[in-house]
Amino acid sequence: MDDEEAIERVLAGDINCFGLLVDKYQNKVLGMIFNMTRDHHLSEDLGQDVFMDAYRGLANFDSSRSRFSTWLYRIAQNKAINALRKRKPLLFAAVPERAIESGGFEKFAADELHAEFDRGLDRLPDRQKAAFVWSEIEELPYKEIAQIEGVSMGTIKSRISRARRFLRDALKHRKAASNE
Amino acid sequence: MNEDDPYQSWIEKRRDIAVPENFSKKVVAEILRREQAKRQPKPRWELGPWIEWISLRPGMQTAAVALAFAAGALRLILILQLVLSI
Repeated sequence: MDDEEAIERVLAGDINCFGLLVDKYQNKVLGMIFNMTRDHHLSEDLGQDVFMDAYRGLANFDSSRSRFSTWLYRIAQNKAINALRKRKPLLFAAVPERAIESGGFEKFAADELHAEFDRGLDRLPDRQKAAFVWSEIEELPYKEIAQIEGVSMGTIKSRISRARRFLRDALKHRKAASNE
Repeated sequence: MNEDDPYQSWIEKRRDIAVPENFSKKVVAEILRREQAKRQPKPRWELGPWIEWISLRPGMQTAAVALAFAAGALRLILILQLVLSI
């Protein structure tokens, strides 16, 4: 069943059909929010809010203007950015749950290079960070990210390239500092 | 996972985020709960019938006016008492 058909059925009163849409997009929505906030509980709560908002706004969704996924990802991005602006800066990096389950906390904490990238990601401006997360981590095409943001593809490419350079430079500086 | 390139292995780690179990079921259950709550009639503050009952009792309106006068008079007495005591 494609998105449009699922939406029609939800609007006709088949609420369980909305579960199919949640199943289809939950990984990207929760992944994006988690990678923006690095807070597992917050990402679950916000993820639920995203789908609740989508359900409430479904009657106003216009499929001729954008794809359902683009519309949904825009809601997710706005929620994540609003949460970042409300929240105080992170003092300690949150650890992804899967990392704790699979490798143990010590192993993950010992991985200083990854921690350095995490800190770099936290320092990126919100829009740059969002573009980077969508593109590099969630693997969305530039075109869709541009539609989510409502900007040109060139702007998105530039944001991603700056973010990538910033992260790689942060690592280089760290390596240089540790060699001195 | 690409261990040789720390950037790539970090990206791969970032992609590996676990979605909570039964997440979609929870979302649908919450929607159903809210929809049901919307359909239930909202509890009203039941003052209307009481006012109606009082207004229909013979002599109740007179009693209410007399009570208001008594309260006013009592207040006047208290004010006078206060003024005289100064």
